[in-house]
Amino acid sequence: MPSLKAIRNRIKSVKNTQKITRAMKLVAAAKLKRAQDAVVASRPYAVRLRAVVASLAGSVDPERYPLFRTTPTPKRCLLIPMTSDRGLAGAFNSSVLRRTEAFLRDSKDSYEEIGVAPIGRKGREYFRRRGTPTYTELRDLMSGPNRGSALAVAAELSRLFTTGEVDEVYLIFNEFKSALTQTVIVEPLLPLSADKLAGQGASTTEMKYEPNREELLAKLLPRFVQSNVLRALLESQASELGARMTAMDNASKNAAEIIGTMTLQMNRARQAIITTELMEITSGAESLKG
Amino acid sequence: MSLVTLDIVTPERAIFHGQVTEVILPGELGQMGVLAGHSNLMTLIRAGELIAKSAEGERRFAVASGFAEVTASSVVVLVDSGEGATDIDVARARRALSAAESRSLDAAVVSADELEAHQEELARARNRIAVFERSSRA
Repeated sequence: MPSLKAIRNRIKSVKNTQKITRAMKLVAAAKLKRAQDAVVASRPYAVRLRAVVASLAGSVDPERYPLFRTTPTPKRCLLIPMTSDRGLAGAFNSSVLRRTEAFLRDSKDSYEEIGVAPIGRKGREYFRRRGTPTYTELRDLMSGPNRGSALAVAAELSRLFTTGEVDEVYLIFNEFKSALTQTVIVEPLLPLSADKLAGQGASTTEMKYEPNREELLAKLLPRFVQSNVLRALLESQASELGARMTAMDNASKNAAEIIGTMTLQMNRARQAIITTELMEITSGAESLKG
Repeated sequence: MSLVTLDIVTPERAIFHGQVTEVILPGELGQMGVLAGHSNLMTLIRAGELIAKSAEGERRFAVASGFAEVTASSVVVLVDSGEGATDIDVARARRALSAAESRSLDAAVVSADELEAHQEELARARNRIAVFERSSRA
């Protein structure tokens, strides 16, 4: 049985931890609201742009657009796992990293080379520890989940793709379902699939195009890539906060439970001491009488 | 007078949604006014001033480049960035402008993309300032 003092100290330390986890939960909850709003606010643009690109993609020659370029035997593939800068977010980072590892393992034979360009400090550190060569240039392009970052990242990825340095690009990120559930998805970013897009574009109305379809599509495709990157960044951000909120909520509950059991232990220990003392006093008194 | 539904949307948020009588768009091929009943049209937009006229008066917006989808009863404008004339942070736009201007670009070294990005940056900042000044005078 640990001493009374030891139990008191433990309780104090758990209480301190609980204060921290509770504060982190509140902060994550407040930020989550904003992050969720950002996801929702970005949707109209993404939906609209996809519809327009889809309606145009069916009516032009995809060969003329470098972002549609498909390689019959892709050699180099680039993975973009999206992680957070800070930990204590439950399974948020580990599930993305696990999925990335699985991709690396399963597709080892399909490509000559699979590169990794992690976003977020956790991902960078993980792959550095593992000794996986990573492409870290994206790091300087990120300033948060906003349009500026999406623009810079999309531009860099498009450049790597159009210069032929990579043949395929995949985003691996947490899609936000709710604060309790986030699902990791692997989304092909490049090349854009003209066929898949055209399948979705059911343009029935007559349209006039200014200046013309080709030029419009050429201007819209880079924006489409950007919009996809931005969506992934925002989803990932909301997921991170959701995961952290849930994790910290659980941690606070666990702390409360530990405090409960230990308080019970403490009271028992104190009672035991009192009982022993009483027994000593009464037996002392008894012996004096005799 | 029949109305058109105008939506101005940026990648980060929707900045306007409402019924208007006329929209003046900064089209790639020049300014153009759109009234209800316009034929279906998809056009590129350059950085410029977008004016939404309605019974309550005019609202001005500074928009960056993008495109617009026009139908008989609606105008959807998708632009890289934009804000209402009264929301413009003119000090920030001025800073952005002087920063962009002071960065001299050697035409021999920079790529076409970089040049285009730089010009876009200049156009955006100039446009914000111009729209702000015009609306504060009005």
